[in-house]
Amino acid sequence: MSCVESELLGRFFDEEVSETERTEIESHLRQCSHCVSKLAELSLMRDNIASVQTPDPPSGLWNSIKASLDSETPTQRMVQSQNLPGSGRFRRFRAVAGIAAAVGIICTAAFWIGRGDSAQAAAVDFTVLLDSISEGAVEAFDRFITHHSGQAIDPTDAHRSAPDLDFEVPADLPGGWRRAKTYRLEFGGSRGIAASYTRNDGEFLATIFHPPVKKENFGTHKDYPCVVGKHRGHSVKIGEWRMMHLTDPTTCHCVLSRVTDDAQLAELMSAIAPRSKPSEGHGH
Amino acid sequence: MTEAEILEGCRRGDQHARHELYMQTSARIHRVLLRITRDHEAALDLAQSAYLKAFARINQFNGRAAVATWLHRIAVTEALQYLRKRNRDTGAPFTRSEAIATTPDHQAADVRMDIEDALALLDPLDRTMLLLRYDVGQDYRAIAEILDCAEGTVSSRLNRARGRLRGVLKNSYSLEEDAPSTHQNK
Repeated sequence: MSCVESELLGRFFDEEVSETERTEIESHLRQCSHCVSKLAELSLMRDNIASVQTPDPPSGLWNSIKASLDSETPTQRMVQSQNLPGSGRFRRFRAVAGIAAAVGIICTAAFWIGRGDSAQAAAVDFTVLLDSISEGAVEAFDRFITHHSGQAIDPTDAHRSAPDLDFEVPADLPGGWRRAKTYRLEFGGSRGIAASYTRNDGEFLATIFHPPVKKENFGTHKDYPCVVGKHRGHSVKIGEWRMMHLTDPTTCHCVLSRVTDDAQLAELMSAIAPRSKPSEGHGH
Repeated sequence: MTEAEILEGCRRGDQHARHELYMQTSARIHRVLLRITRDHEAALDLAQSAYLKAFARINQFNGRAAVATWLHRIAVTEALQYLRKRNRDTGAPFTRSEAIATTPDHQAADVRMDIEDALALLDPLDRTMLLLRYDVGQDYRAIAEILDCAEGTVSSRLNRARGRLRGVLKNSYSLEEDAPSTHQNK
């Protein structure tokens, strides 16, 4: 048999051949080093194409989509979606959002007008997160990330992004949680880190690390002292959701979850704050 | 939520279902748009436009393909239209700096530039073919659905794209050259 024609060899590599073709080609490959090397070349090409890293979409992308959905009637949305040339819409959204933010309509959209503006938020503003958590924790977390100029980062860059903080963002947390995304945050010139986690059943958990500033804004939500394992801290509870804070002189470690078991919470806290000592609380 | 529940919710205009669809697909959609257009701003614009179109046309989704394939079809169509318009307006070829835009740091860029440079030099349709097959992992049937063509066309165009990519890479990688056409197995 002559060498396998390149298109057929490509289909064989892509597993898009018939059973008969597959048998014939496999038989040929046993005695043709040239075709074997061509397959190796295809494999190298595929691996190279797939291995390129790209950044995650910014969390504000959903906010801009949602704002567009909220601001348009169904008829407008249909007409616009059919007429869009395919670009400029995201930029137009930011221009419109600038006006909206100026009159206080869309606070979170300010991120897209000028990321530096929201970076000036001096307090850690948990109201953005807690006020809407009952409507959806993932969306509420996204709002918090956007409000504090969150930028998706590679988890391996987390410590370099916030060198003054002592924390961990492990790939896995006790209880079956797997890390989804990691973000760098801005708190009025200070850096913070956040990470989102999901479980196989779709349950969401988030960790947030920030400098132990005194201005933590919880809005109308009551913040209670609490003890987690050997550590003391404080927590806010809204419905099933609970935001735990483990505090020490360098870092405030926060976990947002629906975990109720104290032993599991203690394990989670130990995983994200392994070097924090029980006596080091900064006492919000 | 199952795909059926997400679709049903999206058809009702339920924001939670829409957000769930977005969360499940946005990383892949954004990635393919970024790699086709090689432009961060354009990728975000196109992603937003694609999702708005998808939500507006959700009742037209017939379930013949997976919803992710349908979303890819909308997004890729947007991207190719955008590139056609951009190239018509500017006549500008893709540049090295645009290629760097898809890598998060310079060190990674140094390692990956060969393949990204090579992809950047391909025709947008060839690049899209290769990305859909070898990055997104779509099979020929799905690619045919996304690009609205026959499966046989996918096979021949992929072959052409692979050949062109090999040609561009020849000076970068020490890949084996094609043997003379007279090569015969012993």
